[in-house]
Amino acid sequence: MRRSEKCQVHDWKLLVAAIFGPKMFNNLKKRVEQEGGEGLLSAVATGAISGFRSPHSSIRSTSRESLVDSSDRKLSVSSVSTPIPEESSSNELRNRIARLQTALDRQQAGFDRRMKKNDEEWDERMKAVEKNWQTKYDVLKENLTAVLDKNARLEEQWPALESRAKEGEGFKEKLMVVQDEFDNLQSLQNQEIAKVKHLLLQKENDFTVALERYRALEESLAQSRLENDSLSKDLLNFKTSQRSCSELQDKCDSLRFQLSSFEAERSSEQRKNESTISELREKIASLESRLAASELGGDDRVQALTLEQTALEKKLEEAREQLSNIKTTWSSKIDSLERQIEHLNASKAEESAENDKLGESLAEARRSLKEFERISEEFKVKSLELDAVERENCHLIAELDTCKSDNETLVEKLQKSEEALAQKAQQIQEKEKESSIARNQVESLEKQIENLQSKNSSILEELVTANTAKESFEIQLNQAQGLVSTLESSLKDVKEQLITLEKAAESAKSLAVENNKLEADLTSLRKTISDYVAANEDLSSQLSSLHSSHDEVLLRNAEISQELEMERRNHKATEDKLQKSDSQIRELQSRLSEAEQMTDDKVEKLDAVIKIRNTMELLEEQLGERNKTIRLQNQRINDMKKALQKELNSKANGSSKTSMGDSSSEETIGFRRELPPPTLAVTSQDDVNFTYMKNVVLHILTSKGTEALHMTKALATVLKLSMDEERLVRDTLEWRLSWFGPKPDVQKFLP
Amino acid sequence: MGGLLSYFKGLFGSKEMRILILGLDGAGKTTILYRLVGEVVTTIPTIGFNVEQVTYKNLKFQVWDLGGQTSIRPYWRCYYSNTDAIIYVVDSADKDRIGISKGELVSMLEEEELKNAILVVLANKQDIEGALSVAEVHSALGLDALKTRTFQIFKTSALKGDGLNQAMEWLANALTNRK
Repeated sequence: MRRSEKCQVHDWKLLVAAIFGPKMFNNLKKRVEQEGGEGLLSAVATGAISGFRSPHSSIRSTSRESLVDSSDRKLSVSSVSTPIPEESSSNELRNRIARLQTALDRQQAGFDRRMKKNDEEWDERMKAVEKNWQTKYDVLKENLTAVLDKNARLEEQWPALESRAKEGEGFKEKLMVVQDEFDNLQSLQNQEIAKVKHLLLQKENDFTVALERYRALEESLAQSRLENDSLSKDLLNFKTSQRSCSELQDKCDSLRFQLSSFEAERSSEQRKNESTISELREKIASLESRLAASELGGDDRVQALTLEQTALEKKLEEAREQLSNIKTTWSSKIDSLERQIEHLNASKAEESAENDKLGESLAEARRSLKEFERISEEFKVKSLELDAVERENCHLIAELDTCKSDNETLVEKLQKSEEALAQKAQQIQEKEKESSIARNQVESLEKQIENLQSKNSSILEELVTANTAKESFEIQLNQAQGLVSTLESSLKDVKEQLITLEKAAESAKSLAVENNKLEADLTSLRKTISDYVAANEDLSSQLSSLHSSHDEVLLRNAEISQELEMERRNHKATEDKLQKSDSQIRELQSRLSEAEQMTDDKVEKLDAVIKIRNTMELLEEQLGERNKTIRLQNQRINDMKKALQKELNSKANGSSKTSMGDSSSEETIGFRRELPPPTLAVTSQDDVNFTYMKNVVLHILTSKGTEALHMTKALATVLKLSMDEERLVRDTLEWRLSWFGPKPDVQKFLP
Repeated sequence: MGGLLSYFKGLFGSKEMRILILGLDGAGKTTILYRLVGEVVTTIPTIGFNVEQVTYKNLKFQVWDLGGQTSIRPYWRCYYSNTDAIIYVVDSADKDRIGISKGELVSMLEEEELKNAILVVLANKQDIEGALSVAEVHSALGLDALKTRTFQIFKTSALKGDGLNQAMEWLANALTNRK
């Protein structure tokens, strides 16, 4: 308030000064001082002061107050012209004024003091308030900055949180997708498991079937093995039987050998017998002759003896004949036997060959073996029979012995007769000395005969035995034939058996093949089983892997769900934070809005400044462009000026152009120096084109052919020649350059 | 007579290399051409072309300086056939039109007839203060995009005659190596 009043006083002064000017104001002051116009001044002053409601205002008079009041509204200038009071009153007035001035001064001093005090207090208060405000402001600022920072941070965090929320949503979606995938996987797993189970069941069934087949096969195998074993046993038996057969054959061979040896012995003995018989005959004949010579006494006996001798001889002859017959029959029989034996041998060889051939495949030969055994038994029986025959032979020998004994008896009788003869001889010793010698001889002969007889008997016996042997042999042969037949039948059987065996072998082979097949099947089955097992293992591994993947998926699911929960928690926490921060942000925003309102004004101001600057820059740019254009135009103007000057010059020196052209065209030989043709700086396009055309034509006309060839194109474009015309020009130029060649037809193109 | 001479030249002398000097107007093509010949001339804008024979290290070049004004730039393509090399002159001080220069260069290099031509870029007017450096010209012309082209960039001052010998030496080597 006081300040404003002060200002009002000052304003008044300024007003006065402004209205009347400083000089006039000073003059007025002087006049007022001179003419006692202090009242007015004071009135002015008091009028100015009257506004103050100071305690000293009671000093003032009411009239003055009214004066002041009245003059307060009016300009002081108007009261200047008021009549001046008297000098006495003026002195009082002066004194009063002085007092008043002093009082005023005092008042003013006091007022100043108060003012100062008040000011100081005010200042202090203000300072305190300012300090408070500043502190508050600082605090607020700090709060604001903190809040701003927080806000910034939160704003910074906000996109991250948003992105997190988005990520969470993405995670949710992922989880959904994962769950879907998981469900799909589970369904797929179930399906696959069902498939696998089905497959497993099928495979188990197959496996059981295969196992049954395998067992059946194993059984069949065992059977076949057993059969094989039996066959091998049979084979072994057959081998043993073969061995026994071979042994029997050996025995047979040995028997044959014995037979042959026996035959040989017999033949030798026969020969010996024959020789001895012949010898005996000779001797008998000699004896008979001697006897006949010596038969003087005892003729009856001798005759009987001779009769007996003849009978004996007859018998002997008969025996010989019989022997010969037997011999022949024997030999024939032997031959037949030999043949049979040969046949047998051959058949045996065939058999052996067949045996050898069939030996590998022969498995069952028991029966044959048994038969062989039977045969061997029969052989044994036959050997027994042979023994019996031998015994019979022995009997025969015994009979022969008896015969011998008879012979001996006969011999004894003969001896007796001899003795009687000896008695007779004794009687007729002398006569019968020779006869005794003869007798001795006879005796010796008889002895010899006896020997012979014995030999004969033995031979006979042997013959008998041989006959018996023959018979036995025949029997044996028959038996052998029967045997052979039986053997043949057995062979047939054997063959059949062999065939059966072959069949069996074939069957065995087939069995073996089947076995092999079965084994292959078995192996294949095993393989398949192993494959199945492997597949099973794979499936189980797949199952386990699936389980593991399932577990992994579950784990992932769990992890993801955990993460999601964490995210949700975080999200919630962040949402709480966000809410908190939102509230903070709202607060801050309210503060910010306040601050923004504060700053907006500044910004507007700044914008205004920036706009002004932009407009300044634009104006500067425009100015620069205009300057550039001005420069360019200036340059153009200069060029124009120069061109004009040159034109003027050229017009002034019009004749010099032709002379220059002449000088340049003259220097064509050697290094050609051709100054550029004088050209005019023309503005219009046509003029430029014309000058260009002119210069080109000039060049072509003045240049060498090679250069002119290069210019034809330019000439064609300048003169707008057609393709044919251009070619014609080119051809003519080339023709000019070349030594030979036809001249191109120019007339064709010229009108 | 000229035919006879050229015939004997073709018999005994090596074949002339055909080189085009191209570039925007005022880049310094004509000055460079006559620098190569061995003359220092004051030039006026070329409306048309200039042809000079230059012998450098026993190699004969037929150098064509084609006018670079906007209206006669379309005639450049009339000279492209049988060109062995291109000397592309850039005014390094003319920063405003280097984009146009790049466009002309790119469209020129797309021509089928210049597929096997060797490119020499001359960053001319290096004597002027504030001129673009070789690297700046290189990047401004987009020469990095050239993959199959055999090219080289040289800083030159046609007025002072700097850098032209290096460029011609490189070009002669490149042309002899290409054979």
